[in-house]
Amino acid sequence: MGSAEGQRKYIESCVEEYSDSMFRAAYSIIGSAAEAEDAVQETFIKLYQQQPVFNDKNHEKAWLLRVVINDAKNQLRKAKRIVSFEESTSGIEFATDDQRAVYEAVRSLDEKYRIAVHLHFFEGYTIKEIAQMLSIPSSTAGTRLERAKAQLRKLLEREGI
Amino acid sequence: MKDFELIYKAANESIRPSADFKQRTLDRIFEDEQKKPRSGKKLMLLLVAAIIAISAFVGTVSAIEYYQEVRGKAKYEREDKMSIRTEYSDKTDLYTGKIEQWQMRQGLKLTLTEVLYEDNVFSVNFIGEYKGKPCSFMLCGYPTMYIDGEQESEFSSSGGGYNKDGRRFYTEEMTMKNDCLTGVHEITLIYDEVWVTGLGENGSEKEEIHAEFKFAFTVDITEISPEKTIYIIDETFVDEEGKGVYLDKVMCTPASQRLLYRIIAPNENDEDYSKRYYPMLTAIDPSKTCRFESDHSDNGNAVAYNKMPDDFDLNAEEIELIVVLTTHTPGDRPRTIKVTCVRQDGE
Repeated sequence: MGSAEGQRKYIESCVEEYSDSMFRAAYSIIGSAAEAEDAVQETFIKLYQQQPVFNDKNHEKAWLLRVVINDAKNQLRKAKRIVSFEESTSGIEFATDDQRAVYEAVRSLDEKYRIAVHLHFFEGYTIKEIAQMLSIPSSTAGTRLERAKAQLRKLLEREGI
Repeated sequence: MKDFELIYKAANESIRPSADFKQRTLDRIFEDEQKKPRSGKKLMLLLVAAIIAISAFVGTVSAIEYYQEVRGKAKYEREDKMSIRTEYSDKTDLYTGKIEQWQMRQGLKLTLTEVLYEDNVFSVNFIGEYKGKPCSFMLCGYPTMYIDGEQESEFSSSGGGYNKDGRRFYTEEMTMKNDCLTGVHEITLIYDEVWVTGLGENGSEKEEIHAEFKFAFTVDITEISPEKTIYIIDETFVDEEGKGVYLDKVMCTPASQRLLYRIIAPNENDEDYSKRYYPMLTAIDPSKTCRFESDHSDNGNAVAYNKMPDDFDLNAEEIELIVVLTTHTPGDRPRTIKVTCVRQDGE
């Protein structure tokens, strides 16, 4: 991406294509729309400033998700607070009660489990891909996903889902 | 979990940024580019908004002074490979009933339920109770890890949210910079704050409490690292700026099937993160590629560890490493160095 205009168009296309995915990933961690938006913007600024070279579109998306996840985690630490799921989902209009229950169940998981669940069930990444994205061993990614699923089963059984 | 997947995907469709977000993002990116360093105006606005939001949901904020040292002894039970569960025993001298429940002033109790060690990560699980009711809490601060009582390292930590019933196990995840390969004997966690959000006396009010405490437990890692072989490297790589990059030490630990090596970067104490080197061990033998796992500390040193090749000769007098040094600086070429390590026993 040589020219400034070319770079600008590239960033615009990335913002158009990945904003929603990145926002959902950040939101699943922070639970605050304003802070999730900030994490996404910070990530795009890094993309613009660092101009990393990607092998393909998958690599590009994985990089953006990884950076936004790290940024969201950092924000959460800096904020030194936790956001309850009641607080985080109060402004969201889910289409069904089941959707709210499922989303709240995921929100109630520990952060590391939430991330694994989101990347696997929403983004469709495999355990190996999640491990690479989070810089953790595959065994750890697999364990996190299994534990998350076990906790979710218990939580959702109570809801009759 | 098939239904779960479908419902979760559908639920996420409702999670979207605000309507003008994309345009605001582009404005911010290109605005930032024009005036570096970044204007803090938007951050200030966000900060103000955050303060307002926090103020709105916090009923009262009470500061309490609390400091208690509790010691426990962790017992390892070997599970598959590196997955090890620690359990506290109430039969040791060091571990007393106090650790089970820390009664703090103003009715706060913290119960340490378990410590897990898995894949080089310690997870410490607590459950909280405030004025007789389950509560959520967050531990803040920077826990300290003591290795062999001499070295010191930092953990990274993570936060979490509530469980459905308002009760939760808080997991503080700590990634160890130097793990069992170096011999961890004592871990001390010193938190400068405990933020608790629980139900207030009238059932609707939420409170945040700040407290301070520390606890320590002894970890006997001899089971998982009964022996190790140290290789010493004499060669020093000199980078293009004429600074030395030292491959400081290489250790192999047969029990954990890993090789660990430490590199001392030339820019120690340099705050420019992007200029730091971190090593990638690509091969013991040029014909084989090892899985890459590495970590780098904040002081310019870097630690990396790799799975030991299946045919690694545990009795080798010398091993040859090919290490690729990379930095975070865009456009920086990786440097490859080849070093011979001579075995030294009995450290």
